[in-house]
Amino acid sequence: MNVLDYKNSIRIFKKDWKTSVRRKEILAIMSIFPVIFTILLPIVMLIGIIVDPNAFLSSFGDPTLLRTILQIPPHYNDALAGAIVVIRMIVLPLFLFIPGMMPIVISSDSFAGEKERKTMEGVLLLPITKTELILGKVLASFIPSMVISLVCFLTLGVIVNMMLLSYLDGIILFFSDIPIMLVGFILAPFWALLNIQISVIISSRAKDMKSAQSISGALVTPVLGIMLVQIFNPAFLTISTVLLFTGFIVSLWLLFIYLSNKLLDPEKLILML
Amino acid sequence: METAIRLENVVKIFYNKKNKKFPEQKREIFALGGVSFEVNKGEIFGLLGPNGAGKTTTIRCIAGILQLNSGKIYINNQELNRSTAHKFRKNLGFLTENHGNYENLTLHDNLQFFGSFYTLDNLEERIDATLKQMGLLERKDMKAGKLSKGQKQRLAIARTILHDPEILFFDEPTAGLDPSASVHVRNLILELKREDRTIFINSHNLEEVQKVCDRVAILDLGKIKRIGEPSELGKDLWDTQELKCSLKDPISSEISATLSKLDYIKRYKIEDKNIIMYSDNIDEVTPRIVKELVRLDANILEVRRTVHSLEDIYLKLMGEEQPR
Repeated sequence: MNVLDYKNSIRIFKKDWKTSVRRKEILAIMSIFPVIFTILLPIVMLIGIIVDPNAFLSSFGDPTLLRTILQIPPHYNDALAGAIVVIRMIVLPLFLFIPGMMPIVISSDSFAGEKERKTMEGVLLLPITKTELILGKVLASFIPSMVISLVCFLTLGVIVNMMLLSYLDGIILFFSDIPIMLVGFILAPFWALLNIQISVIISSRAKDMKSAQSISGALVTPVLGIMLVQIFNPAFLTISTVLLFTGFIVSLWLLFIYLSNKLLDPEKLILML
Repeated sequence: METAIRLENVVKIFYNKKNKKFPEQKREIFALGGVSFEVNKGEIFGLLGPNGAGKTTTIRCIAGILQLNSGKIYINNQELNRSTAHKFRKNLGFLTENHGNYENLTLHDNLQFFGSFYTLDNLEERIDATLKQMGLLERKDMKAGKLSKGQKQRLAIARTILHDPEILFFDEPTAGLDPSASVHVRNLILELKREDRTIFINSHNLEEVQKVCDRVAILDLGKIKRIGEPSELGKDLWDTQELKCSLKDPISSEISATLSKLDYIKRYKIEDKNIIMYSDNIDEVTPRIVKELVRLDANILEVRRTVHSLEDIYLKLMGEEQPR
């Protein structure tokens, strides 16, 4: 049994950070996606609340029913209730595109990019184990994705509170909501890890980065869409359901860790060069 | 002599997916069909063969990144297995056929990345020293992608020797290089040998192998055809050996008549002022032939035994096949 030398994984992570994450194409995607999904679209939604809070809340259904289902505190005015509805039903699913898509962009480059640039064999000839190599590649996608996701999540919270400042009346939105915090700090990291693990397997089997990206994207995007639409209906977002869903994601992630160790064969990586 | 690398009956088979268009196409390809040889410590060993002979596969098997179908590989008398191969790789250096440098990293960062995986006390000093040895120190902070082909190869060699490995593998080290860059690489290989390292070269460049290798193995279709010192390799491939005598004057009828009577000369031919003679044992008969020519008052300008080059041996062994 080989002992995992995490330092080797850190070295792979640092190298990937310099060689792929810092590439202009990847940096461009990493900047545009978060701005669209966590700043522009939420701002557009929140403008609707500011213009006419009552009409906005009513557009989602019977306001009284919505307040009951979402357990919105009775002292929350229509603007704040509308904000809760928007955050849970639209803004959070949009936010989850960040930890869902960012890692795919980076991890598609991990093995496929090395193959494309003909550097794969040099890496495989280093004195490291397969597990150390995979861990390094996962970290290279996970760390930047999570940093961006957390920044986006916190920015989102600040934007919500800033835009509804005149309606707050001493109440803090977003950061005081436990299910929302669980989504940002528990579900999002595991969601990113699952996507990375799937993407790493695809990247190891794809001939080049573009095909790896399109296969990963094609595989993950619809799943993401369907799941999120189903899950983030107003009644779903409770502490127990978020934890349960996170547990499901973690199980899938562990399954894909096992699969990636089985499927990722240095021999295949070399022969596909 | 101590053995650095030993291969015992190594078999490596690649499996092709079934091709619907060509169902008759072979699914199993014997890349190595029972290869055995030894490389001694401190020697330069060359593995020669045409494209597709199995040279790179041999190196990849020794590196432990390809799973053997059967056979054993020993490095410094310790058996290699794929799960512990990474530990063996600490003492090995590999120059792959593609240089494998990270083009958007500087030369320093390339070496720092590869060097960081080995337990080196003074990595920065080593990076500078190795870059200096390769004549690249002044380009230390330049992106590797901006180097010429020869410089890229030198950077790859720097990466290969940075951690001071005991055994070095060079896969086609001068492929695609101009003559002066090739000479530089060859000199470097000889310099590394002087540092008592074991060097394993894969090449189809016969001249290169002849110039630097102590021993050579010829590999074809996954099988070792011949192994030995370059000068000894073709000894029993030809039934006669050749001696060429160049005289000052045209060959007289008296010389010709005498030569035809000498039973130790199998046959001979006269080309202008040259006599080309064939014998079973040219080393033994050369003094007798010279003595006979002197007796006949022949003015001898030059006596030269024809040594078969590695190229002759290679072509003979390959049966002068058409390129595959």
